[in-house]
Amino acid sequence: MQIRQLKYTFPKAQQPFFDGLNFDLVAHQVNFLIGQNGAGKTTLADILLGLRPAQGEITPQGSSIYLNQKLPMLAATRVCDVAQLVLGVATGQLRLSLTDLAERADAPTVAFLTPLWHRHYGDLSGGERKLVQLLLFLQVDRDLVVLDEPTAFVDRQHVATLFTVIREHPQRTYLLITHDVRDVTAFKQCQVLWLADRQIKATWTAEQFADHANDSEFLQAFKTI
Amino acid sequence: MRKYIVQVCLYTRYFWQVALDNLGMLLYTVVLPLVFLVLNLKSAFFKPLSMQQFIGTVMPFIAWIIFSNVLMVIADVAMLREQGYLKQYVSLVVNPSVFLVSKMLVSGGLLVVILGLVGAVSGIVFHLPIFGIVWRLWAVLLLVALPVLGYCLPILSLPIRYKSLNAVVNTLMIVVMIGSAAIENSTHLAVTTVWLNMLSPIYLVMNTFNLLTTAQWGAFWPAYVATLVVMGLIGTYSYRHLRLLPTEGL
Repeated sequence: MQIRQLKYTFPKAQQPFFDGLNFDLVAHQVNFLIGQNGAGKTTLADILLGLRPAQGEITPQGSSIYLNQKLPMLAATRVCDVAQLVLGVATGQLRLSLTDLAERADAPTVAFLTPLWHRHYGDLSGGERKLVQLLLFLQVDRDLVVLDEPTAFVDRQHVATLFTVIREHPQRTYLLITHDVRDVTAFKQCQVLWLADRQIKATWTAEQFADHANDSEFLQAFKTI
Repeated sequence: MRKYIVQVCLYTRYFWQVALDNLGMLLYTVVLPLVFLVLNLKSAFFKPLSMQQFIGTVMPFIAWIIFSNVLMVIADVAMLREQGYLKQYVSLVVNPSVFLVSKMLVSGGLLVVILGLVGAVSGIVFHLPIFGIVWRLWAVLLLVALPVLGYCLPILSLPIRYKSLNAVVNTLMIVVMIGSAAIENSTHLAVTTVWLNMLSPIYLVMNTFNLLTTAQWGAFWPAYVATLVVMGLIGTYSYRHLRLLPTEGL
């Protein structure tokens, strides 16, 4: 995915927030977007998803799916209701049983959801709730998957499950916003984009990031603290 | 189109499940209008009313029930937006109207029950034919649902924060109710007045029920069609400018 000369101005703002932004997302791979709080990572994700009107070129324009930084609270329905909603809406299937789930979803997702299937969503822990939504959304086929801080408030065992599910669908292009270096190091092949001063200041492969990305206080802190 | 219908079915079922899961809240929603009916009109109970008296006495109350329920649908969708729900779930659906239509269907279902109960109670206490009242109320609901939705839709195109939503909705409700009552009391204009039907959903509801009682289509059409067209345009414009991102952080 190529992004060229991207220009975006917030409503009511005089000056553009992004101006002449250029970068590429590597197709069929995980792309991490890192940067300080307030750098504009979520805003950039919104623009890529077409939720904010911006000038410039984004090619190719494919289908996309997005998961929020703070996942919306779902009312007190059961996990199977949430699954029926997300997967039903995506597949056009009105009813979804555990057998259907096993046919439609990848193995790690089925393994995670099966014991929770009849439990009330509200009775799950915060991390479990987040993972339920993340894994269900990851069963929906889209060209671009944007996950905004998917690993925040999730224990590392559940993060491992999430990353396993991501690896189960290598045909997609992923954009993951993160503040956790462990997420980056979990992927041998990935691209890291550093958003700072309203520009993509640097782009690294996983190896380059591990070896060379130390040239700022933010990056040193990102990699060590 | 099939995908759209399936998505609406799924979302309608989901919102029903959410409503049924909180049974106390559901009963409150259904029973509250009956309680208000008793509180407001108990002095007129067990005295026979003509249909015209029913329009003047009870229909403003029915209009409030319909208007407030549609307004709450819009407020609910705005709340979903402020919680980030629309932003996330819009990537799943054909278009955002799936949320609106589903919410309207659930609210419509509740309104059918509420109006059925209010019609039955009204029939008993005002010595009116129960079936005659109930079918007219349901027909009114069918006829006014779209114009009233168009009346409320601009809320979704405005940048209203989560904390301000209740204030905006309550203010609109008070303005419409008190404004309509004030016009009624000071001018005694006919319910068929065209501009009043456009300005106030209360008048539109009363006018529609009046038609179903008197069958005077000639008096009804100008106001109804004008309202349907104007509210349709307002609704379409508002939908095209629907805000999907939460206002906080814009």
